[in-house]
Amino acid sequence: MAIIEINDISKVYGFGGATTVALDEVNLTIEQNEFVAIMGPSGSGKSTLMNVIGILDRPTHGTYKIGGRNVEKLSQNQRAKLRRDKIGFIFQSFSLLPRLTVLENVALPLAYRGLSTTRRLKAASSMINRLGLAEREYYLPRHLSGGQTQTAAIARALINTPSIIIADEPTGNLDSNDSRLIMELLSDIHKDGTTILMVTHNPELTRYATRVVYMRDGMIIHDELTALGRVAPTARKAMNYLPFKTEEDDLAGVSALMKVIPGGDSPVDKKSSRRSKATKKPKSRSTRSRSRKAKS
Amino acid sequence: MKSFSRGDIGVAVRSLRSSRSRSLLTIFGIVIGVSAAITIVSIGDGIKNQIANNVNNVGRDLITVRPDLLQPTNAVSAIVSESSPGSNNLSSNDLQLIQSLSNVQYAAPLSLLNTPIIKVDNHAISGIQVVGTTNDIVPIFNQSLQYGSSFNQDGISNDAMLGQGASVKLFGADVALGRTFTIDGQSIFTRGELQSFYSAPLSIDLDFNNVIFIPYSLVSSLQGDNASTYEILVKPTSPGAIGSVVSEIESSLTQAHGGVQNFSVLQQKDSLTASDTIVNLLTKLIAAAAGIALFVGGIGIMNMMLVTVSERTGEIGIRKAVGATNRQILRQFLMEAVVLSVSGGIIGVIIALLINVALRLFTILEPTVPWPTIALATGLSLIIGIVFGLIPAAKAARKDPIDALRHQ
Repeated sequence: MAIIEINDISKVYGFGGATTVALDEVNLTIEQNEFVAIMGPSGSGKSTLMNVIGILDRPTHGTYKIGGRNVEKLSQNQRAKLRRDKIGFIFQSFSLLPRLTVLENVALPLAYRGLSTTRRLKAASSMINRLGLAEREYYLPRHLSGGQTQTAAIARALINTPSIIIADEPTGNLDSNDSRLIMELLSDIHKDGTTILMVTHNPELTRYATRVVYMRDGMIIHDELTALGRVAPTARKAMNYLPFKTEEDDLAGVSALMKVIPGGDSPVDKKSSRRSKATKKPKSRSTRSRSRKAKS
Repeated sequence: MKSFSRGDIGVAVRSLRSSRSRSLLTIFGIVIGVSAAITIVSIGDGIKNQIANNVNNVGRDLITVRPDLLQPTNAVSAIVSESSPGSNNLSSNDLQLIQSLSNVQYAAPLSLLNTPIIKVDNHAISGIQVVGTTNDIVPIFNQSLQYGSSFNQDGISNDAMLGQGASVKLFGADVALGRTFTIDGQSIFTRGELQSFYSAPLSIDLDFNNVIFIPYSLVSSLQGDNASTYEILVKPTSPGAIGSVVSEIESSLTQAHGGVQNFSVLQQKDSLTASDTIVNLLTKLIAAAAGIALFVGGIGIMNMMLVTVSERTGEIGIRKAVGATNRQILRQFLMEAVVLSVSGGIIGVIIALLINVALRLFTILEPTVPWPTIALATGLSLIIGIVFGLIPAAKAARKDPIDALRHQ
């Protein structure tokens, strides 16, 4: 059974003429133990999709099943508990609580499960140990390097042994060494059987993924399986254009990427005209067919 | 769901500590309210106890005849007339009349000298009252002489009994017995010194420790017709005779005053009622002020918590992302408000207890430790924390996790 099943999900912000369509009838099915990289320019709906999958946000339309369980009918409380037990978040900005030590930050999700202080600190300590941050347990986040901070955030995401890890540009604020460290860590977690969804601007990082989903204007425009250890074929085409050093480079890389994606600006793609908003048509059908195509 | 646990309190204390000065300023209102309420109630109770003790010391069977007509229940007028003992309605004839009644064991007048000039070796001494009375005053007050003896009974004698405070003021640490001083030029011989009087604050009685007692007959020879009798104290032969003695005094004096009742006959329970009424009134007024301080303190807490919630929107987002339910967020912020207000309450109690000790050490007040009031004040600060913390905490709990995460 698929761990994540999204059917015709839309997310619309605002009212009347000022509405923004963040997600436009998206369909996505993710199997257990997939490592999905999600790429796309800013405003393409990646983060909204992650928020919906992470049960932080409610979609305007559509159904979302997590492990076969329908999410949209759940109460606030049940959603919080599902989020706590099934999903671990890793953010670009680390999002550790500044006043808590590393140990307490990592133990935080356990507190909401009602574990005693001793038990949760013990569990957090062994998790920190596992990720090689043992001697930093009692440091405050501001005394850690970027890589260490993100490692602590990953430890926090893992502490409840979630089945899904959602990483929103986990290396966005890190230098290349720390980035590699974090990606190796995610890769290890993936090997242990956890499903990982990672938003990234860096095509290089698709090496660690088993599947790459490309988004634009709230739609999935391309979806391809890729071999571990190799940059995804579509992303690789874009890499030939530009070096990826900084975030600006990354963004430029995404633009380049969009040019080579089938369904992007590429003249090869017969449906490229859809990109222009003036000729907007119902897209769900074609998007869906494309996802299906990518899977097969 | 588990109720508030120690961990919750720890988390709350930690985040309050991170903005220490703001937290301290915020709980100031609660501290003031609680300490004021407890202090006032303890002083009030203490005064009531002291007055009751005083009454018990003198004896509950003491009857007081005053030269004005008082409504014993009207405390304020009792105090006002107390300060103006100018009326001339009681005379030495009245005293003799009362002494002649059956069931009267002792009767002694108290006649206050108007602005006496007291000199020792030509040095004027101030701060001492001079009271004319008879030897009956000693048994009436259940008093005894520490040194010397009471007035010479043979004819007019220019002698005096001193209260301990008066003795110190006149002669310092020297032995007072046998020494002389002058009142309005008249030389007076110190014949006795009384034991220390128990004196209650806010009591409507004189402080007898600072009094020079002179023979009643000497008053008129010193001040002529200006001398007035301030009150006549009467002790019946047995406590059971109080009622009959009171009515006898009333009827015979009314008759002697030509059918006009221009005096009042008070029992000890009347003066207790009077002082209790004043003390209770004051206690209620100040307790109300303390209640307002508590309310304002509660609003301060609400204000700080609202600021805290909007400052920590990002933290709320993170906590929700790692699985906190709305109720858990609510509990966290409610706990902070409660910890704030209860610690304000506890600090208030500690300050009140310190004030209590200081009052006992440095004043004549003997405040009680009113445990029910302390429990009430602490409970009230808890309730204030819950009531005024609820709105900010609910606001925190309702925050949309995505907006909150974006807020970082």
